[in-house]
Amino acid sequence: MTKPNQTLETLLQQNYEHGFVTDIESDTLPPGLNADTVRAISAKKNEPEFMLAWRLKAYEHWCQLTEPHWAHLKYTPIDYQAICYYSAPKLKDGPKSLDEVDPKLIETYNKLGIPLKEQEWLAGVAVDAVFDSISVATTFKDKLNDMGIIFCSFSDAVQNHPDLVQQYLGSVVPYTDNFFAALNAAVFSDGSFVYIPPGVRCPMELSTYFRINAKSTGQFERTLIIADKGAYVSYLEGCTAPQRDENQLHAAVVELVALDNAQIKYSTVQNWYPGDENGVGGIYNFVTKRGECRGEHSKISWTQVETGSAITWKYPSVILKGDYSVGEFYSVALTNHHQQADTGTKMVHIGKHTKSTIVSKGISAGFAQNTYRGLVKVLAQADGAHNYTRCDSLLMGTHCGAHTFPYIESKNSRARIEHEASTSKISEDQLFYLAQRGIDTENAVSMIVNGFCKEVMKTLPMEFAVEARKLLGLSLEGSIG
Amino acid sequence: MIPQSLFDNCAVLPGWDKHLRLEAWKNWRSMATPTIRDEAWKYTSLARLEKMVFSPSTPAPSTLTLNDIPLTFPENRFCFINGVFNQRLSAPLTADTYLLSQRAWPKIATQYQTAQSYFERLNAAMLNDGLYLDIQNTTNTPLYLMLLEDKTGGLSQHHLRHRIRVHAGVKSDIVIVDLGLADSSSLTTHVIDIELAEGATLNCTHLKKASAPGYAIRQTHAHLAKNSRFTHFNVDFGAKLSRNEIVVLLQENNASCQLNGLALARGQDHIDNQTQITHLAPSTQSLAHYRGMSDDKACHIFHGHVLVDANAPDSIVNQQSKNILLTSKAQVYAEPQLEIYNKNIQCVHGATVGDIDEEALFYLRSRGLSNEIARQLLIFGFARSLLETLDDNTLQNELAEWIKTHLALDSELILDCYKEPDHENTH
Repeated sequence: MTKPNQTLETLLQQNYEHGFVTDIESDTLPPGLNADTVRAISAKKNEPEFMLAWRLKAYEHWCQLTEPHWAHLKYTPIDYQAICYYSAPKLKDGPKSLDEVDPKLIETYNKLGIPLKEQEWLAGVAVDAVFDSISVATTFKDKLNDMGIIFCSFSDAVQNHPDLVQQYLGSVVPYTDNFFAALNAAVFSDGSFVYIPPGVRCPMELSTYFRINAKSTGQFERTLIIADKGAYVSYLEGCTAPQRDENQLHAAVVELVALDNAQIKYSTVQNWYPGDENGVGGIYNFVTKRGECRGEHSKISWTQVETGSAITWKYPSVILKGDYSVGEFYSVALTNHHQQADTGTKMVHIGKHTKSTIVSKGISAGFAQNTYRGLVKVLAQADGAHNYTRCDSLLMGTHCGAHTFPYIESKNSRARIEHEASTSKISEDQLFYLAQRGIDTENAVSMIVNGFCKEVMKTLPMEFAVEARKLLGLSLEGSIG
Repeated sequence: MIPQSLFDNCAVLPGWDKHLRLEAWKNWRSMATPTIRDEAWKYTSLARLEKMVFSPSTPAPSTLTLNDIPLTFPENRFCFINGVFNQRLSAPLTADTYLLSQRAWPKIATQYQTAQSYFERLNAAMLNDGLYLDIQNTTNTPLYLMLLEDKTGGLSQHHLRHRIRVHAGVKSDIVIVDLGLADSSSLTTHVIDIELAEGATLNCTHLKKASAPGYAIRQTHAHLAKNSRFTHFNVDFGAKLSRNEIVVLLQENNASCQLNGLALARGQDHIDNQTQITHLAPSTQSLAHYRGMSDDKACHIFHGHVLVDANAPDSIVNQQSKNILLTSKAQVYAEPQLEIYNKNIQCVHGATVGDIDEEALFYLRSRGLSNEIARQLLIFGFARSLLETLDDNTLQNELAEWIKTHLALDSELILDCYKEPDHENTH
């Protein structure tokens, strides 16, 4: 087994493919955080009074909180005063079409494999691309406008649809929710906003690519998606980041609201810079994602493929409030080298006959630590609630760890909760069997891992599934020991 | 919980080292009472307990007889009443195999230096009595350790610590009968340290029925050497607060443990089962299977933590928690956790929470059983199936009777319907 492993080792050592920095002049606030920073951000974005008031309340609340350390993570402390809380690419006037977008930005996206024009025509995907913190290109707007769908940057939504923002902002993740959510609420610069009117089925996958660029800049995105009665939307989020030596903080908040009979499908491929093979650098990813099935028969589905970040702290959750509502969570979390991930979900059953499914696949290689942490909570009134959880871990190195921390809380005798989990490795038998059939170790590992993750991968939209497989292939191999 | 004045006035028991006791008291006082913000106490609040003041138990002559306990006892038994050894009800082994009370103290005291948890520290400070058991030869009949609580009146407390050593290659069975016969509120802590030498086997059955309004904290620490095997069966009939912490260290190659537990909570019972298994050596095995049943407004918690160290390849881990909720006011919390640092292992865990299986109920009803009897049968079956892992048939049947009485099941009807398994064939 040694010979093929050496080849894989070299594959494993390869550099981060998306590691580069685009040289664009940024409009940046000095590092540090105080009430004035919050006011400055709000002023720069020309926000209405209610937004500033909300941000300031969030900031005051954040000041009273201490950073949580219950997760199975070890990292050097974050100096919140050393972070720059606002950085926007300088654009004199907002671009009206793709031709007006800074060619350097377009080049960046092309390097990342997101050809906007091609996507627009070939893949039928509308892209609201976020470069650092400001939205710079939005496509397919007209087509969506005709159907009454609002898909724009958060700043635009604040200007053009303040009523909707005021009604829904913080209604799923209030600023009091946790340390990072409070921080985000105070300083978030931009993000995406989606509103699907009643009875409308969004004809295309909506997608946003995030990218951290300016040096020492934390990213604080805020996404709000509302699916009104009977609406349907599928949203894709993808992340890549340039190579850095210092750690960068990313504390995003995503809020989803599904009303009666509405459906939201939210898919993420996360590939932030994970740090080098010695654990130097990499993104700290502290994200709060939560959806609320507010109406009857509503459905929220999270799918995530997490391959990047030095530290991941992320628990996409669903509050199942409406009767007969459905929550789903499909996750592949891959950690290599010195990456650490503490990720999972929360399913809170409040409505009657609510149903949730959790499928989590954790893969750990090198010196990485991969933790699944999930809560299934059934309240007393949730008659007939049903949860099924399956979480499997695959260990691929001699120094890595895979951990499972499920929390099951049931207060209803008519609810049914099932949880099962396993931890295993890629066996010599499997590799031998495939080698016998002429498949080299590299491909064999890739096949086995893809098979291991199949249940999750099949829930991803086509475009994402391809990227996700590629990411797994890049990050995994060479870890067979 | 225990004010300084109470400690100062508490008579120092003969032979107990005053200095160590004072150290232990300071040690306990230096620690804040755990709250629901502490991970290990997330679902168990000590707020009410903290406000209560318990006076140390005074050894009064007890009128208890063996007939008060519905179990068949063999010759070997040690009996403690209200935290003090009772000669009258005891029938101990030969004198060279055990040490009691003050003679046992030096052997037990060595364990105190590592006291970490809140109640272990309290136990050290307020210790009443203890037994040091040195098992050198295999015995055919089980040894009974009876920890009884008789009526004392008022809020009382008592604290026991035992140490059990099983020598190399020796096989032993111990049954701990932990009974609260008082109907007043009390605080009791029992700590048992177990050491198994190479190739030793210890089967420990812990039958616990604390007094209903009582607060009963039990801790068992087991250290396992090479090729040793430890089985622990915990049957808990509930109390106001009944907490069982079992910590097992699989220290050397091929050590194995099996922890089974049955929690039968009803009324206002609160049963909190915590298991912590650490695999430190290669080819170690652990199996944990806990079943819980919550009726009325009762609450059951299972927190199982298994850690497999990087130095423990080829380990096998299996952790299961099955729970049924019988009413809409009952609660269940299950946390089967795994922390794995080695890839060459086999590891599974599972947890279920639900009501009685509807299909099974339908099956029985379609065979002419009434809803009530069918339910009783299924509840009994849920508990009984775990009892079958016990080797001792007499004990198994006696426990089954206890369960029937506790759950107010109709013994006659169940006997008619429930065909006893043919143990000679099944084992």
